[in-house]
Amino acid sequence: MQESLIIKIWEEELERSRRILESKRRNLLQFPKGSVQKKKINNEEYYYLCKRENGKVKSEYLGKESSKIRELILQLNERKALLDSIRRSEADIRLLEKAVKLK
Amino acid sequence: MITQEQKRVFDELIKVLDDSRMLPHVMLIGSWAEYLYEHAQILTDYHSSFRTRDIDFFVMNLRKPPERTDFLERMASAGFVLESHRGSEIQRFERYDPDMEIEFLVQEKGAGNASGHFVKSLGITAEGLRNLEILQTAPLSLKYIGRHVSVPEPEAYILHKLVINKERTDAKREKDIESLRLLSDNILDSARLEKGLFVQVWNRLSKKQKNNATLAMQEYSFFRLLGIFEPDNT
Repeated sequence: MQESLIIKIWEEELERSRRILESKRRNLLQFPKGSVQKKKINNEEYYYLCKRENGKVKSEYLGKESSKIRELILQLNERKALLDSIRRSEADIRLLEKAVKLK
Repeated sequence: MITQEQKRVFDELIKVLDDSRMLPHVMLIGSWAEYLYEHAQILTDYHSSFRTRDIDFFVMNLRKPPERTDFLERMASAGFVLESHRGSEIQRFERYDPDMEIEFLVQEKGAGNASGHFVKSLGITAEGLRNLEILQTAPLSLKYIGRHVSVPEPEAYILHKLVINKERTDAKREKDIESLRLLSDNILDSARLEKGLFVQVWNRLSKKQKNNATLAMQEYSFFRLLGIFEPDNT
């Protein structure tokens, strides 16, 4: 394959990767932030949502286990997976930017 | 080459289209059609050349099916994210890890509409492109994961790509030519040529389309292929 064609393919790949990264970042905003923690008090389990606000860690009481809490945990896990995906995209973009600059 | 993860996403997409009863109304076009040619073994010793993260479907008739399906909801459940092109109403789907883009295209007619065409059955606004009717002149149904997927016959696929060659970006143009050479050489060297599909599709092209395809064949030295259509022009 011609060298010029490879570089053109990388350039398109870079453009697409940037577009998808932007979409991932937009998508991230729909998910709640924080982590759910469980505390055992008098043999009963209670759930709290811990998150950082203005540099301080805040804990919000959620109650006993419920479908609402299970759904929240799922969403927090999805957010974490999306954040990992964003980091991978950023790394790919850095590589592609270097490759395109080589031309 | 197509990775296992990309293939998994593609299979999920085919299942969503089938479950929402949209599969008979769309045609798989673009380089994923080449994957199906290889998978269905309709060509002898053919291996598609490029890995791609775009999956394109042609919505063959804007009014069919006439009713709204549950396609959009099924896509969301399967993890496909609906996005708009920047500064436009045209929408496409994205899928993360592996990152892929899925587009639905419709035939552009008349003066054209840059803001796209709403496809009621899908519930999205799709981009209109000219010359897609070429693909429809020779449809082919291939069995894939137990379902019938419509693709253009390879001859229509090749001629369509040659007609639109000038409109493509540099990278796409050269990628197209690499894969078209592989496909057309395969057909020209096989008994498939005797089916006469190349000539059948060619005869249905407009004068302008024939001119564009001829120019592309001359520019990229597809002389054997050109010889079939215009023996005096090679």
